[in-house]
Amino acid sequence: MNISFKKVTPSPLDGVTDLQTEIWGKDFEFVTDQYIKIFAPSGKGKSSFMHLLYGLRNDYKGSICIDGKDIKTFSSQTWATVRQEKISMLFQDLRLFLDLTALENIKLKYELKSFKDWNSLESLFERLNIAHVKNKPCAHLSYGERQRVAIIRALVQPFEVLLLDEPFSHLDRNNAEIASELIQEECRARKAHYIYTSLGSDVYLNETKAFRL
Amino acid sequence: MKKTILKIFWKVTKLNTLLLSALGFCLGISFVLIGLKIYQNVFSSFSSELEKSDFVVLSKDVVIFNTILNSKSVLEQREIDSLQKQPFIEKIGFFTPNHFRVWAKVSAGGGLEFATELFFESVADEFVDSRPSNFRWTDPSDPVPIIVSEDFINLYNYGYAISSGLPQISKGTVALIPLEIELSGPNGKKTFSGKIVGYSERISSVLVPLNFMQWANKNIGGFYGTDKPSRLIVKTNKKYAGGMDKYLSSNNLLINSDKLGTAKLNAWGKILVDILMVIGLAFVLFSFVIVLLNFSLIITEAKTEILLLLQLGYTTATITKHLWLYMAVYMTIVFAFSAVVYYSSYTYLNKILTSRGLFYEDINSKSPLLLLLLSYLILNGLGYLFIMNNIRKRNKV
Repeated sequence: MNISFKKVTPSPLDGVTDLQTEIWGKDFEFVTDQYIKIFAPSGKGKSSFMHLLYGLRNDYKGSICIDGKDIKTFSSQTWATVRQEKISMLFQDLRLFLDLTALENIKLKYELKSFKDWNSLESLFERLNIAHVKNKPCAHLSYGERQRVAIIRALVQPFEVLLLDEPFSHLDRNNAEIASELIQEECRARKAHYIYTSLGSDVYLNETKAFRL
Repeated sequence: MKKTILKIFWKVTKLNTLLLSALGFCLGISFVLIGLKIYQNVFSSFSSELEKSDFVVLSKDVVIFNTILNSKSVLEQREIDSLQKQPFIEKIGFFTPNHFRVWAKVSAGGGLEFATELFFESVADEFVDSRPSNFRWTDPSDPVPIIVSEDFINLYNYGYAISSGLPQISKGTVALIPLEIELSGPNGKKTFSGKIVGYSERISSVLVPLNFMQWANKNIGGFYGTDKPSRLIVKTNKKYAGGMDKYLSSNNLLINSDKLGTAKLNAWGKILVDILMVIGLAFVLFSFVIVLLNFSLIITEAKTEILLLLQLGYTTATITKHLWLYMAVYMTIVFAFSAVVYYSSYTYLNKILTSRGLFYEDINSKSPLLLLLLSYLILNGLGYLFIMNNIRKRNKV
């Protein structure tokens, strides 16, 4: 998958001149097989960048193209297909259904489209050390546990690009390493690449290219 | 079917309001269907001459001179010719009266016998409504088929039978009664067996086939002439009916109005049943609006969840389908329950009315159920569109 940005500036940053950015207002491309790290301190638009790419907001100048097509022209049906098969997303604010159990949150995605069979998905709970909470409503889980449920959910579907918005922000070093290993393994299995955002000190995921936002 | 998504909506479903509208549906549907059933059972058997006035019976006004002078009020040939030229007349049929005496006997078993003097009339076949295939007579040894006015059986069932405690009889039963018909005249006496084969709403008379009448008038009555008709049956052209009243009154002609009383009663009954049905319809519509508002509320309350589902790659169509499934299940339960309520209350009502002699035939028709099925499908379809539209409107990504 080929993603290109042409002079993109999100509305909140429009007119702000003191940006030391390699992305906003610039032209560049992400191509397959690149593992991208986007780093910046808080408030520079990391989540905005992810949300633009995932089609959740369209208040920006410039144009974003996926495989040569401007995403502003995508219908809701096209976005649904993209989100089922091409791009998977781990939200910074996780966005789990808090009334559903951890397992049900996974099932919700599994029932839509799945890359893996149900048993291997369930085994991921053990691998990420959250097997003991899988039948609890997410509202009762800690942020660290929820983040790992969200990681599993992002890995249910097939994808070409995985968007990870500060993926380990709530995890301890040990669990972050396990999770990052899993993510890289899953990307290799799908021949997919990932784009992740970080405050800058993240050392868990490998990257082939890093951009300052 | 995706089960987990259903769980998300279950949480925000308002069962209390839905129960309330279920009650409205039940009442409304029952009212409408019972009204419809009453139309079919009661009014169809009374449907008046005036409504079907493409055929009317015309007669010359009987005035006091006819009584005093014992002259018959008949229509002269020139009057018939003039009538024939009127634009509102399509076709004229003549009644042929009997020129012999008729006695009809019914044996009630146990030596009991009822006998009455009768009259017969005949009219060309095309003017007889609901003419059964066995209304035919070819040979003097054949039984004589008879068509009587529906009024006669109504008079018996609703007037005579109730007041004198006799059983009411159905049309089917009447057909089974064997009649013995004795004709007598200058040329002798002859006995036939007779059978009531049908009922006329249009003509209040006792009708026999025209060829039987011609045969009997000649062979028993010894009558070879032609009659001046005292009444006519005419097929009217409704397009020109405007000038009819004026023409008839200026020529001393009367439209058969013996159904007028029933028609008035009918009209009142119809208004009452109409009101019942309108109220029922209003109940159904209001209940449906409540259901729609309820689902609109569900969509509002589950706004975050729906948005998140869309973000996870669910399409509007999939979300609509699952939310609509709730509505469809609800509607199925409500409609099935309504059908049961309708059926049992109708059966109960029917029992009461029958015991008071107001029904005598339950027309077994599927149209109430078809109507129920049709409205079930239409309401579900509308519900689907409503849900889809609501989800689209509120979740423009």
